[in-house]
Amino acid sequence: MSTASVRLQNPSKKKRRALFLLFVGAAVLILGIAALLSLGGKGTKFDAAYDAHADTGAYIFGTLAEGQSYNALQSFWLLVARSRNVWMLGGLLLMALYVGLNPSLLYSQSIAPYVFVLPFVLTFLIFFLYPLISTTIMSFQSIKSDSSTWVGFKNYNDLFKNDTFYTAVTNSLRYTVITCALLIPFPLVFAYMLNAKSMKLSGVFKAILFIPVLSSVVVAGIVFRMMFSELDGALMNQVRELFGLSPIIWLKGEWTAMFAMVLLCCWRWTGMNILYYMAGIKSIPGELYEAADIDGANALQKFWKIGWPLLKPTTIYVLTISIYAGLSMFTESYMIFGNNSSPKNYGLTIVGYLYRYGFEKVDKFGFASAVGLVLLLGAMIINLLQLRITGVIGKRKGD
Amino acid sequence: MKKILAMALTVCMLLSMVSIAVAESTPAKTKLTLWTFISQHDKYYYSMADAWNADHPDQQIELECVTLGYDEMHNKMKVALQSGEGAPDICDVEVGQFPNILAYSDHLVELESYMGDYMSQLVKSRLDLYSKGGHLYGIPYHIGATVTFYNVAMLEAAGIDYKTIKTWDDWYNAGLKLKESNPNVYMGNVETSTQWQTALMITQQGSEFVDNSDEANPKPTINTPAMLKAIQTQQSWLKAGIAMVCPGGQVDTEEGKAWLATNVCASVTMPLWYMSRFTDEIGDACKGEYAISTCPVFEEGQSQSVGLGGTGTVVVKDNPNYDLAAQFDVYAKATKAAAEKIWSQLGFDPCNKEVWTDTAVTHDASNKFNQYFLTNAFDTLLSINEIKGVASTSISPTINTYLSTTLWNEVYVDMADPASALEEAQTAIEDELF
Repeated sequence: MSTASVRLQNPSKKKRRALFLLFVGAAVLILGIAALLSLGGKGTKFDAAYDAHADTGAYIFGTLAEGQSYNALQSFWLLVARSRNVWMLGGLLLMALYVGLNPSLLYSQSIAPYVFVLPFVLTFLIFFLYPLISTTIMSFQSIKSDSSTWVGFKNYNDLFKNDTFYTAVTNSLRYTVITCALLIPFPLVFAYMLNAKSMKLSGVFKAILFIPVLSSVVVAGIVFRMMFSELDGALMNQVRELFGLSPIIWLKGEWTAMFAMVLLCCWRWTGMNILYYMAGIKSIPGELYEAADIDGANALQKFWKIGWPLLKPTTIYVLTISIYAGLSMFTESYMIFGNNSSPKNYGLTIVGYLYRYGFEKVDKFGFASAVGLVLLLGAMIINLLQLRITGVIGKRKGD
Repeated sequence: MKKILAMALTVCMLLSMVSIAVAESTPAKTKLTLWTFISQHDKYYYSMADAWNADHPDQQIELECVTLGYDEMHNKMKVALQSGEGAPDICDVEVGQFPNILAYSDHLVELESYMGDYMSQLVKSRLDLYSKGGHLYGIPYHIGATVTFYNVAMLEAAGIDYKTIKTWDDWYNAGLKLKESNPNVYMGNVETSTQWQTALMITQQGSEFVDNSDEANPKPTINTPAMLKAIQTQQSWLKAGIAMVCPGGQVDTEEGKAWLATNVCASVTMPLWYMSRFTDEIGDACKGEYAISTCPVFEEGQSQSVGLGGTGTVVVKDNPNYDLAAQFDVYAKATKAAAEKIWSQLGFDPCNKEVWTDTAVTHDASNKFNQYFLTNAFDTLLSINEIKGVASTSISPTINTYLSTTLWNEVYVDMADPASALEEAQTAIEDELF
């Protein structure tokens, strides 16, 4: 260990000053955050009501009955809620002051790692854990614009009774299976082709195959909608004409509509998966192939005995993200059909179903939360199963 | 040194916060934001804002219109009202979505006190569409009376005079005659992504999609004899080849308008507001081709029209300037000056009927709608025996979604048996209403 780090890691000799500032600061900050959360996102309206001396309790404690007034604790909480920004800022300032008084903290090696993981921990807590918990709570409630009531398992009951839900699940699963079945073998073959020494202009082809990845799904979706339009002049109907077939209404057939969505997905993601596979192929040591050549292995044997097993991590990664992307697909269908309702719900996915109830219908937020949780559980189970089967998790001993 | 730096930074931060607070001083004009989902509407509102500012020197407004996509705007509005934040001062809400927005009526201004005498001057059935519990929450643009646009030259070439078409049977026979003389054209179209024609056909028979007799508890009425007849009629058109399933599902879509522009359709039955789609989007391809006439009926004496579509403009109560916003809403939608502009600029049939008989306005030769069509829209409007209204209820969005995604595709694309399809639709919709 160098002398510099010894000097830095020696806080015990220097006593920390004014430790109470840290605790008071943290307490004040937490109070401010708690006040913010207790308002449930209705801060602006609460402030206006507070300033106008209107009944503010409705936002936190429930409306007052005639002649009733808040107790001291409730009044204090309302005051904190109104001045929450001051509390949060004050808490941060007090904590900053503590650090300012103990500058050695800035160089402490025992604290540094926590500071570095803090951004991730905060993002996880704010954008994942908090929404997950509140979704779980909401899935057992009926949410109206100004009230929430507990309804037990009603949302789940309604969900599993609803035929449209099963249509959405079938569509999503079908889409996931097809895209996974296409987006693994083809990119793999293309990656081998682009990697081959005899391949001319491989840079150009790589660029061409990769460009769709950079395009916006909204723009691409609109272009695909026009390509699959039912007019005789539409691109896909022109293609049919080349083969002597008559024009069809693409987006009103169960499988032709699915074809349009899958084609959009493949067009956009083939390039990305090729890139993953090319990186995987490049990382296979050349000696293995050399040894195989000496043993007289042919190309196919080399692929099955060397390439495929060593590319397994890449394949598992691509499969995992493809399953996730397939189950959470929404934008592609929304853009191809122009909105969230498609003929006979051919384009309805689970997320589209969630969107329909959460945002298109009224007072169904609790139900939509239940849909979201079921989707989360489903996606998790499928991916865990997949990872278990491919041996990423579990059965380590047998390796 | 570090302490000094830290203090200096803190002072800087505080100063900047103060300066932001000071910068938010009140402007001379009151700023109002407005959301709409049709770009023609935003031009209209800007012109009405200029007129308002000229009329009200001490209540100047600065209007900011935001045009969003249909689904996007309505969904954003619902979320804004539900969360109580981010809603505009004024918002155009389409009639099909109005029940969804009305679920948050606590957040909307009750407009009847601002309307004054206009409450009685505007067509009552249209105001009812945007009312709940005796309060008015949205001000309409138009009646949206359905009419039939006939391609006169095309029909005359087949020896048909459109004025003789009175019933759907006449229409059907005219279609057969047309097909005989020119197999490449169609008499009309069948909709699969909406239900303008079907709504007309069932109201003519005295039926509706919803039984609204108990307002608190509306019921879907899909499996009815009127529906059966409407579907059978339209299926017979498809079987005879005199109509085709409209590209895009209906004529008010990109594909539908592109199809009309190819001049292969002899008649279009749509609400009168479709005129502006002809002039602004279909354009010269059909200019001078179509005449406006009354819709066919099943039997003489049935109502020739029904008011369909529409937009109610609501004012959000949560915002500080709602009082001024409500006054502007009334000024921009209900006054006679507004009604004149609604016709001359947007081509709608205004709810303020005072304008209907004012020939200086309705027969203005410089009006682009009068120049585009062979007959005058108001002559037709005044000749219609009855313009019915349709109920818009809390269950209507669910019904409309089912009809426009599933039922029409079953009966018009797959040509399923209408009776069993209707029975299935009735159960499916009842199941959806949990």
